[in-house]
Amino acid sequence: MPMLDKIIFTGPVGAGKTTAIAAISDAPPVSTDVRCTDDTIKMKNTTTVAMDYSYISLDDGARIHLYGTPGQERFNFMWKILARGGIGLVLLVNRDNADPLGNMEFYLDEFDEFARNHAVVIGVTRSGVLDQASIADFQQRLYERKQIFPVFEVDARNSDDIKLLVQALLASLQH
Amino acid sequence: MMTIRLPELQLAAPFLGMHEKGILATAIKKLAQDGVRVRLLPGSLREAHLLVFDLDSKYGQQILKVSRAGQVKLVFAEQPNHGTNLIALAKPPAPAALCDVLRRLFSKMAAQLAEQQAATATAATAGTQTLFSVLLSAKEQGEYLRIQATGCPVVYVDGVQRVIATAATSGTLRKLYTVPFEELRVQILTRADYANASQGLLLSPLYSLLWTAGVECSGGVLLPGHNAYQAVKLRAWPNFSRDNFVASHLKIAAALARQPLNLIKLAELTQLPFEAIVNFYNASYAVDLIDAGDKISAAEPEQRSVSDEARSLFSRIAQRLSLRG
Repeated sequence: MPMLDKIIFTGPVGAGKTTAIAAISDAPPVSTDVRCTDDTIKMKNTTTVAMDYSYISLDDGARIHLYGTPGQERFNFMWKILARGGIGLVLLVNRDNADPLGNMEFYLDEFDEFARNHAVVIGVTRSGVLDQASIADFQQRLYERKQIFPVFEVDARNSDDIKLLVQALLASLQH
Repeated sequence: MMTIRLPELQLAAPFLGMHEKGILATAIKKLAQDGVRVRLLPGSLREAHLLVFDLDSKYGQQILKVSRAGQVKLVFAEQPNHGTNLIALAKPPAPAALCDVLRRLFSKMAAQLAEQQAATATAATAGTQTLFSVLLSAKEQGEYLRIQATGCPVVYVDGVQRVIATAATSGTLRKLYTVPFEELRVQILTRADYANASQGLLLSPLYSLLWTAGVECSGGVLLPGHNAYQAVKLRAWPNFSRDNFVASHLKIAAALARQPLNLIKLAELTQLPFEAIVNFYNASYAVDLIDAGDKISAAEPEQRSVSDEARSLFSRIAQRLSLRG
């Protein structure tokens, strides 16, 4: 069994993965961000092309690595590589996207094998502007898929919100 | 609010040899780490739930004679084959087998205690109104309410649209849960009165208030008509980032999202007080997060298989990322 020492943050472009990692990590994330040259420029100036990385240190000096996957689908070959040895998956979905429920399902399908053997939590970000779906809509879609994962409204900048996601992930792994 | 006793298996171990006593003490310590409460009573033979003794020793048969009816007897013997009235382990007892027996006896006792407490609590509070029961009724009957407590702006409840209208902040709303129900002024409104009174006030989901009222005001008493032996399952996690929660709610939600359980078994599995389980259940039921009925059946609860190494790692991460407040 591979050593469990990392938590994976995934989700579409602009969901707040880099920000979420920065909110709980001990050091600013090392990002492989480049200036956007495609449609992503409409959402933000830069995007992650390989991964984000940072860590949290435990009391005995051990490190838990925090990896953020690149959001764009053309980098999806990276996702499974990054997931190896992962404790669990934090999936962030931007509620203001045109199809946030479809986004959630896409990533759950992509990480299906990982999700069956580990734990998944879902953070719904950027709530309150366009609000394409309510938390109840996410819950209902998961219920239809027979996947009862925690879904919380979060602000990726708020460390307590991101800590709550990780706490729920850990509870799901143990109980 | 009634006091909920935590289950504790009390045992006496009269005239046990030093070696067996050591094994017993180690087993009790190990079980304590898993939340299984077993206590060795010094010299209280008749008060103990369980007697542990060496059947082959010269006192073995005497202890059998003086034990009271209904007292469970766990004996160590060279030939552990003594009929159905005794639980027998071969000498010297294997620590794992001893732990297993004590764990089973504790679980049985915890279930019986939870059943008694549920029955007592339901009988004691039948018909009592709380903020929770009033809000739940508004939701179920589609009522419009005006609720006021001293020091808290008026809260208007629309049970049809399932929203509340108020100028109160989440901080001032806390008054509603903390004052005795008799100090709340609750009035049923017509739709027109509600519409007039709530104009210009901020709307927020009723479910957030209902969830918190369920957790804060249930007092460990199961909703009328609900049964602690009915298997239930969580159909979705509560939205803990916006609703009030405590750390034990994560544990309960994780266990109940994974498998259908009745509330007695849920308390056993999570090693949490039955009162906490009931409060969580009531709140979750009220906000439509519970699946129950004939389609849900409970198998024997499964403990999640997690290595000690992984459990220790998860616990250190949880400690490192503990939430404020």
